[in-house]
Amino acid sequence: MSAPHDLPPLTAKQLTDDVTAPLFKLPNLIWFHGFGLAQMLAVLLFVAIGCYCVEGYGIFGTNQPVNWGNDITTYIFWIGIAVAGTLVSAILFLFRQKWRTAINRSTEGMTVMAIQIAGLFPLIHTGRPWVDFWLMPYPNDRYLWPNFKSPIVWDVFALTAYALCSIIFWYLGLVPDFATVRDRATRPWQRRIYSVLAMGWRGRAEDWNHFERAYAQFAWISTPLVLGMHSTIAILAAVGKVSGWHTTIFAPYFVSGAIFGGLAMAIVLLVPMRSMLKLERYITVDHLERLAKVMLATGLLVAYVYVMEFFAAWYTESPYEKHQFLVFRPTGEWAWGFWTMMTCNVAIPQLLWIKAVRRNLVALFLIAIAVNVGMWFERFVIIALSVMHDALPSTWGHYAFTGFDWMILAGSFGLFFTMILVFVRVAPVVSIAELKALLLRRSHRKEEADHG
Amino acid sequence: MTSMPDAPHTTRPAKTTWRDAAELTASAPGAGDEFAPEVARALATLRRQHGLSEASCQSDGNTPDELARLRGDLQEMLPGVKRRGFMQLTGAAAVFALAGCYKQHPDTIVPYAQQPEGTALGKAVYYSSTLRDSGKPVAVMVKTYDGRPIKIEGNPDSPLGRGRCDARTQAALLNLYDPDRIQDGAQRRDGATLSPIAWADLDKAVGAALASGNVGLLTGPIDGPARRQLINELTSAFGARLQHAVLDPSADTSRLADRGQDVVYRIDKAALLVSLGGDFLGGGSTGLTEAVEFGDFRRLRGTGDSADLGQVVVFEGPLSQLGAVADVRVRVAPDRLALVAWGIAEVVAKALGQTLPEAARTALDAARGAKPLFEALGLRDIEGVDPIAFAAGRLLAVKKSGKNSLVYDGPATNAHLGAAVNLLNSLLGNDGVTVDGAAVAATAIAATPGAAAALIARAASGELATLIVVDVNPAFLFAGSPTAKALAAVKTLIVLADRVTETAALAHYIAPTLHGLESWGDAEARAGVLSLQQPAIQPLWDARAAEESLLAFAVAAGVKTASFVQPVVATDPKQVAVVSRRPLWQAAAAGVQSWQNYVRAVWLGSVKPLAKVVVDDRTFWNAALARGVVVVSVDAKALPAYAPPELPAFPLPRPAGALQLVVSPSRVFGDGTWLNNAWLQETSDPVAKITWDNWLALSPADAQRLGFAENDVAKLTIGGIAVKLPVHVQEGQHPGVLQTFSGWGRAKDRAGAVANLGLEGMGYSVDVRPLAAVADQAPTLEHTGETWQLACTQGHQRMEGRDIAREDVLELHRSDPGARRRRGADELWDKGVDGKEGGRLSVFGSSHEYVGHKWGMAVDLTTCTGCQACVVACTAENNVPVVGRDEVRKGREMHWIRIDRYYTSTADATGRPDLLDVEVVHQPVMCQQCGQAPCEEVCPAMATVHNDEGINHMVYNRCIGTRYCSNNCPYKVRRFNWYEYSKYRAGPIGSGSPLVRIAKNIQTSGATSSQAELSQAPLQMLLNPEVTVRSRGVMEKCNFCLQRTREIRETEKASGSRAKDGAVTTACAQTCPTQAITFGDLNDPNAQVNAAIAQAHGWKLLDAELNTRPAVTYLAKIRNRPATAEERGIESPAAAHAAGGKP
Repeated sequence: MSAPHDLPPLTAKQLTDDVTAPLFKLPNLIWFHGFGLAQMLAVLLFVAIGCYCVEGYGIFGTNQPVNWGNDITTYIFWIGIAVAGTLVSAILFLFRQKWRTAINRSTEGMTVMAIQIAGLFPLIHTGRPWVDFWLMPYPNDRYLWPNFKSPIVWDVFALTAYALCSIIFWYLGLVPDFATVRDRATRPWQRRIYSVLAMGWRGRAEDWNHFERAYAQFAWISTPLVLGMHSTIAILAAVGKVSGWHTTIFAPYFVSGAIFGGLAMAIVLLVPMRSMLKLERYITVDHLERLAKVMLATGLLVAYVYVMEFFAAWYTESPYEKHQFLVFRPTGEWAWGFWTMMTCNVAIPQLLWIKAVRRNLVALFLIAIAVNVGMWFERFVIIALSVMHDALPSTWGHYAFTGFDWMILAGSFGLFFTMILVFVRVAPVVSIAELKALLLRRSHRKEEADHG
Repeated sequence: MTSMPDAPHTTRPAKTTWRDAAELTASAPGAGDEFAPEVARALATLRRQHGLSEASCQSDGNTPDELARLRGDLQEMLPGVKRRGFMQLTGAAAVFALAGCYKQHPDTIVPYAQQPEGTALGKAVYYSSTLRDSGKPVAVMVKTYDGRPIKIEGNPDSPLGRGRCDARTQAALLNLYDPDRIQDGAQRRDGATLSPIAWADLDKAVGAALASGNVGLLTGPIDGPARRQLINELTSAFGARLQHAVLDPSADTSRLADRGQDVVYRIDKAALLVSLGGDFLGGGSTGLTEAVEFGDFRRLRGTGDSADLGQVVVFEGPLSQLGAVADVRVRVAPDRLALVAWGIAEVVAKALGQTLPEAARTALDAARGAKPLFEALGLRDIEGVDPIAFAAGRLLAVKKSGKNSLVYDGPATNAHLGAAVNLLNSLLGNDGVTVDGAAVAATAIAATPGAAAALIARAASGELATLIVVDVNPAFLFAGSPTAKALAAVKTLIVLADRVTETAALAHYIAPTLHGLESWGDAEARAGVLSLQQPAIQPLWDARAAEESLLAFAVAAGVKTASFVQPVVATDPKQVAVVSRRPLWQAAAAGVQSWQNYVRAVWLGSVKPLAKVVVDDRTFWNAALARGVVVVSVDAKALPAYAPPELPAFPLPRPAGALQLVVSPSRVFGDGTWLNNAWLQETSDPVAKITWDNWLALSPADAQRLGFAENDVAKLTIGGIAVKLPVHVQEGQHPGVLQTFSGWGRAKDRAGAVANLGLEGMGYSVDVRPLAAVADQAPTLEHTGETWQLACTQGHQRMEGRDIAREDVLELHRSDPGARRRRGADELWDKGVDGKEGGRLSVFGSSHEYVGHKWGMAVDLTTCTGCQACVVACTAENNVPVVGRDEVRKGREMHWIRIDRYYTSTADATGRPDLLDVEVVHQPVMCQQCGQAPCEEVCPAMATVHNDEGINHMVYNRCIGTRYCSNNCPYKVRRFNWYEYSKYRAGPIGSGSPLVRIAKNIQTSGATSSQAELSQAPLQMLLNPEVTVRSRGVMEKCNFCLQRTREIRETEKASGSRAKDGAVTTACAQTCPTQAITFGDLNDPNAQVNAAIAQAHGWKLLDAELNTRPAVTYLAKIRNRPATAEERGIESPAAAHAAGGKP
């Protein structure tokens, strides 16, 4: 068996031709259909946001006591997706996992798109979106600052830092490739755009020297940020006094859950993308299988936490915790949501123990979709179900989606896929520079073998 | 003003002011110029820079260019508007110009040309008055700002209400500003259309009708010296031609028939209340006074072995409001109540050596058979004791101890039951004490049974040519009966009403009446307690007091009684209506005595002598108006001894479990007169917690047997009448009993736009009054297959084993009052390792020290009856918006205080709770003002912060609406403005779906002009100007009536002394009829609230669990019933835990 980073026998020119091909020709019909569909969904998002600005947050299904429902659930969902991309590119980079090379660009792209969508949700979940900027500590004459005790403020910092860093990290990796595209582009307007994007890259040793150091530094910066980002989200819940939120296990739980769900989303993107862009030679089944293995591992972590939550609720003897975990979630009105989560996140991923399943792309794709569904419900169960049955039974409530909730949920996917589909047309989805480095190393090895 | 010493002025140059630096430099700076040194320094600097000599600064030595440059530079350096300042000003001007781009309100605000004496702008003025919106006269204080009533409070000078008020009376404010009142003067009906008619023409037409034949006069209950005298004078003036009848839907007419005299129940003089199917609290025949006295009866008195409180024993089928607070509640089918009553009477009579009437003995023996009576009637035992014997034993024990009891059955018309109740009260010596004939108002004309219907029948038959109906609505109250149909046959029907009611729609002439807050009047709530009604606002529209209309009619009919007429005075042209711009009715212009003068004359003529004060008329009148209440001694009317009537044969009880219908008055609306009141529509029922719709209460046993679930729509057929109602499965309701509530179901547009929101297709505002007449027949229930989600404000009805509303039993409380507290988890919490509240159990250490005031509250669950007066008080005080049925269904009601109602019961063998023999505990929950507030830590915008008096604020301006605080609030008392609720009169449901509203909003740039808007005149007038009206997207919540504690702080600053206890209180504590809520300063050792909190059965909600350190202390509900074996056995916290919600 060949290692995943083993490349097919090809020349550097072939590699560049393959990867940059989508940038220089008209997209195929599948792309157009996908793009149209995604755009239609994205429009729903903006219509719903418009209605919300005109009429008020009441158009969504949240209420007393379920103050956070679809909005924060979907927010955490997209944050989770974003987290996984940085994991693949930064953490695997630091661990010198060469197999990441084929997929890091696309997962980083996923991160950048997902973080933007995630960032939208806190902004549109407030009652008065026009004063959202009060969450930032900006200088003002009244010396009013945000409340630094509030996890929402930490969240703003974490999200902003993470978004900026991941965008820079992503762009940094793209610079040598933009230069390649610039050099190959024949149309003048393309040359002009890509030369701006390449920021004067000449491929000199000095360029490479700076590039590699900067890249490694950003990898080091991104790694704690990615862990911190999702830990902050976890603390958002854990600081709360709500049974079901108030749990110290949340930070590692949320991070592993995010990686779990994010890798599933990466698989959902990579499987169709590699065939659409004809990159099967670069993004191989071996790569996907490795992703599946990491997904299985994080899935088991998540399953462990699920079990621990029940154990803790039973062990504490607190009637509040016991009701939330042992009664309401498994048997209450949203039990179907809870069991969907359990099925999709715990039961279905166990199929990945079977190698044939891991290497069957259709099966892998379906499992990944199931995990995405399960992870959305996981966040929903934590966020909404906990407050639905809070301390005083008299205040227990219900929650139901309105049409506008569906619009922002579907619309967020529409916007995400719109951006991804644009991304694959305008930037090389596989890191040409890094792959060439691998090619070079192989030829070195080959030469050594020949001469040895 | 301090005067300036004028000596330095002489040395100064004439011009000491300048507009800018240019003018300053142009006018050579003089020696006295305050900026001179600075100018000199600047000039010196500039000269150096420009290389100019001292002399060359003069214009003759330099070129004009050089001088201009010098002047420009000088201006830069000098005070005044500089370039940067100019830019700042320009920017600001642009911003203000943009901010000014709102559409301006077209009306102008005109300041006082002559400010009324004694009026301080921005300071509230209180007027005493009397309101009857709750069906009974209640002495009130009306808080007004600039001539607009904004809140109704109880009159503290009234010995009956003692400053407290009920929900319906407080909601009268909304009735005043109701836009659905008749706004354009007197009306004449021609076919289906109403057309305005001048008052003079109306009076002429009515006068002619009155002069031509016999007249019927149908009024509501009459009391008060002036109102009584008006009726007396009318009757004597018209002689036999005028027949008067009183229609009082809430009157206890059966008692009048049984006793030959109306009675007043004095629960405060009783130690025991035994109720047989009567709802003393929510039954509609008792009022605020009885609720206030019930509080005295129920309050825990004494400590240790002498601790005691009044006991309530209830036998009933449905779960009533009284049943919900009962110590012992025994379920019984309503048709067996009479037998239970006679069973009790049998035991009591036997003990007192009396015998029962033959018919009763026969019936009891027949019912009993071979079994004990209670078993034969299907009653549960009380800790192994026969409940009938228990009740009788308690009654006898109370009598033996020299105290009194009260046996009560409400305004029921069951002759057998009524006779037993009267007999029991007689035997027990309660007549004249708790069943008080002497307290009945001397001036009252009580409603006699059937009188109103007979009068209408006479009018329909042509015996009476004219029928005048004053402020009552027989067409609705008699709906479905021949009486209602007879109204249409009356030759001339004149209706005096404030809106086009069902009756007014049939009238030939409508004379619009004033609301109680706009007109004069008087009342006598109990014998000798006379109260005045004075207007607190100019009439909003062209209407006149009903009494003034009667005077005008009489004068027009040629009755020239001296007290009815007044010399004609020219109309004041300035008296124009605010809205219609038509001249308002003025009695003086028509030569009619004004009703105000009439009331004044009667009070000076007949009340002043009774008051036994030696003052001149003017002083007496002013004092009476200021106090509002005058207590005089009147001749007591002794209650005649009770002689049991000949009882007809007892009807056979229906088989056990057979369905039977009980129609009760709505516990919120009473008779439905004010169904258009959105505050009341959104006030949840004290027991069922349902708002906006009528419902059919079904026993859990029947629901299971017949396959009905909550919110199923059932078709109820009885006596040929079928109604469809949504089902509410009512825990505690006896199997076989169906309960519905009257008060709903006003015809379309007859009550108003808010009441219309319950009409068919939009809601279930169903009139079930016609069913009451046929309630003795057998009802049938059918499924319709439809469902209707009732807007219930409570999410879950049981405590699920949580330590939330604590209870104790009196006998256990006596021996160990703190036991319940120790049984919880908080003993360690109380003592703490460092001796301070919470101790070092918390990482935060001990609590913050509050040096000034520290506001706190005590809530006594024993005296709370769930009556919702606090909810309405809070709504009025704090401008709480109404959100409507759809929003309540979603759980978005905005009430800052709510009353949680939990059912508790023992579990059966399978571990499921018993749904039939339940006990109820009411728990008012408002913001607990936590010392360590979970909401404050998580707010990112610092929009919710603590003040130095322990109150947790909401800074609405700063709130961005993340709602994190509400998620984190364990009490869930925070309320979010999901929409611009303050814009709507009855919630956004009245103005279409969100999409419709969005379209409208875009069209009108945010200012919708819907029918249901609050900004519809004159509703915006009811807002309390002391409290911010919250906009959409911000969180709000209770802040212990912050505006009130702020006001105290200002008076303290002015007077330099600390406010006395009771000087400030919250709206809820102020109004609570039973005084279950006490508010005060925890730092004041003499404060009442500290005495309440110090009691051993107090605890703080969820504090032990979550370390929130609330400022609210709850006092456990003490049940005055025998403790169960289980309760006696519980010693350890673990056992208490296992018992779940039961102590």
